[in-house]
Amino acid sequence: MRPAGRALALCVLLLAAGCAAQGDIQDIAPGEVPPLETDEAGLWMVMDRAEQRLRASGRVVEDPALKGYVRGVVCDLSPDYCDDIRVYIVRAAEFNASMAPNGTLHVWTGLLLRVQNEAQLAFVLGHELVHYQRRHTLKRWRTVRNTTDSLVFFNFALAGAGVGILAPLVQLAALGGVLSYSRDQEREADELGFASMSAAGYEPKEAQKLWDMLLAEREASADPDRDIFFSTHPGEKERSESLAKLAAEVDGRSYQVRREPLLAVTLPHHDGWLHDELQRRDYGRFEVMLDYLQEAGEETGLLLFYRGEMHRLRGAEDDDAKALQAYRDAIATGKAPPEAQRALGLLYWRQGRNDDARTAFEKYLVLDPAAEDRAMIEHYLRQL
Amino acid sequence: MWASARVAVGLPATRMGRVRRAFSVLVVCAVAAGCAQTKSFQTSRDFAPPQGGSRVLLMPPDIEISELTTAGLEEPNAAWTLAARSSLGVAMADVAAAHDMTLVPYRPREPEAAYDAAHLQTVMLHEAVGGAVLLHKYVEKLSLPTKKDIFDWSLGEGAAPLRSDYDADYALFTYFRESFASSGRVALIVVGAIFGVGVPGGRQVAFASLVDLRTGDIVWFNTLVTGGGDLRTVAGAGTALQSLLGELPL
Amino acid sequence: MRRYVVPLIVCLALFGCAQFTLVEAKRQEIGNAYSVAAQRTWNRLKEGNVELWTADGPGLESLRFYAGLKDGERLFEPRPGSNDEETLPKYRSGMTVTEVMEFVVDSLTRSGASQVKGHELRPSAFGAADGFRFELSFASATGLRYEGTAIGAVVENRLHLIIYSGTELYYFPKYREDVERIFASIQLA
Repeated sequence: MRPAGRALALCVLLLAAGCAAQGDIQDIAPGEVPPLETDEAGLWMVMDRAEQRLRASGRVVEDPALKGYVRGVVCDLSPDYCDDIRVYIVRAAEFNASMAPNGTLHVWTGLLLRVQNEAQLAFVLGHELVHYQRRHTLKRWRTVRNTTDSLVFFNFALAGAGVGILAPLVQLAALGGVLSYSRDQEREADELGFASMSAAGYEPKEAQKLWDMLLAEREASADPDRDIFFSTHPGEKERSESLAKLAAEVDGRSYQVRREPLLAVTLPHHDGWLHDELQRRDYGRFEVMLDYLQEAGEETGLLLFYRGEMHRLRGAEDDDAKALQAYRDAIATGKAPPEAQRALGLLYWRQGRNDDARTAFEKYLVLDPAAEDRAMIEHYLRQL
Repeated sequence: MWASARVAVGLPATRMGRVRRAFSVLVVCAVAAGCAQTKSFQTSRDFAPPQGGSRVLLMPPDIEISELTTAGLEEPNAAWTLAARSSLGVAMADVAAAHDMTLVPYRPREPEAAYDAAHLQTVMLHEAVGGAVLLHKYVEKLSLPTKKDIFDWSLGEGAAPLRSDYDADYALFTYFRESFASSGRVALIVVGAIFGVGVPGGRQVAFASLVDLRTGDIVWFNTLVTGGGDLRTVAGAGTALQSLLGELPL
Repeated sequence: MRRYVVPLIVCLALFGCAQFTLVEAKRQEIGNAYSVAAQRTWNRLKEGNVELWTADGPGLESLRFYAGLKDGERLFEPRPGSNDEETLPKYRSGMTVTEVMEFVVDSLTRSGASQVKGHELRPSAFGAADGFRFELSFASATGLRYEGTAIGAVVENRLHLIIYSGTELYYFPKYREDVERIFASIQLA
């Protein structure tokens, strides 16, 4: 046999022998732990280590009311898997939730800031729970492993036949969390997640509402391709339509939206979470998000303050005037944070309105006697 | 011509039998033949181990054993990792005997966590210091002029949390990564050799760091890179530890 | 460790960066903007618009010198392969000192540090100029805690800034006194 023919024969032989057994991957059972020698156990081992890392990282939000609430929603959606799922609230500005094959469920604070009610939260959590139940990560890993293995032999076989080595394969950066789901898996997670959400009594129309809100943000964003959630959960365009269709198919019972229980545990965190989001300096996205938050009619003073901050940082043509107005409106509600006075002072100072600046700085120091930057503000006052 | 390869020796029953026969001609890198490379450093500061043997806190080894897929992806293997952890534990006893060491095992208060919360910053600091040593002492291009011929990295008072909770003179941190070529990878190595393309096989990488708990100083640091060996067996773990810790200055 | 090791290795592999050079224990010019007196040796690395000094390695502690940052300049270079350019914090001339501290805190956050906070903003001399000081605290992505202290001044619409940071355990306190002496020795060009 010529060398190329020999290599090809070898490849075929070994491919047949070497394909990782796909078999029929069943749903994971409640309480199930994969046997030690399986590839699934390998994935668990890596994800267990990642979980330890997360706990040591200082990024986990420990608020018991918030943790208990999210965990409660998970357990209502899936009483069978409740004990196997460990919920971690992670302090991170972007909208994201991710389910690891070992039962670790991350919910980022950027998501908790954005969902308008418990129904929307339930949709996302229900969706993630399907990835766990149906072992999607393991299936993806095996597909990737098999595909890359076959591709490599394909390369060499072609090389043998004189076609030349194809471009080198890209290594996976990490397993589990970074592995993105296939579109089929996403569809399955939406359908089954949707079913569990409506079975639990949540308003089905909220799923599409949430999705449309995320799309609106993305369209306004300066950096739309960096969306973590979208990159690991593909299929955004068709999703909105399918979610609308799913909602229409559900019968006309009365469903719950449940805003108050969500707001009760998340509102106290909004100041910090809004600050995190503003650090991304993605003003288009931030403005869309503020518009949605403003719809709810809560915390107007805080939202107006952040609108002012956004204009200040963006610093385009008439942003200074808009910032000024927003700070003043915030203060007028009587519920603005003390920083609004400081921000006003800094803006007046920049505009040469020294008397107004002085008044604002003095008010700031009265409202926040323990201000960390008192020494600096007093220095400003001496300069004015 | 033939790239050296480490054949996946199976704990799991695979279709290895036929493949193993077919590739028995492959050269397997033998540690004894000098394929193992180590490079160590000792502290420039005064260093004198206590008379009458030392007590060494054995920190949980950072271990991951994986299978190298045909395409070069590393698929972590939990069973192999557990076997390696157990074999290394057994082999450590021999090292301890040879160096007059009493091993004090690190035991986290909570079985779920790898470390006690009070020790986390210390462990992470050691990780950062280890990283600095690897970068600035082992990578020529990144060397620090002020450290030329000097090795004085330390955890300083960062070691205190460990010292106060364990009665030990030193702490030993170890790190092991090992991968074994899958049958497909072995085949690829052979196929590659046919076409004159070198394909990397599995490898074993380890480092060890000995910290004086009183001063926090890293008194000794060693790295090991080899194409051969098997941490999953007691014999293999013994060989690796002999290379890695043989020159331990205790 | 990956978090510490990868950026420098990427640096090396992709850009073939400059190597560390020796900083002798004497007065050192920083850009054409100011000078400081080093009373011990350091290792210097220049990258972009920052001059970095370290004794034990940048992952453990570092002094970052910025000399005359102009309108539109950043504190950290964007990570290779990211689309961050547009949205990274930039210095704007006319910034108040409060906004300068915000600029530093936000830049640190965007460069990968977590739980970044600026404290105790207060006026301070920067050589002969009116400047400011503030303290920093943050953590690496893995959770290793760091502390920092900064001194700076806006001179003719350009920002001079020196940021010293190190691991909360051992490395930050280790050179704190050396750094205070460096701060006290600043002379504008």
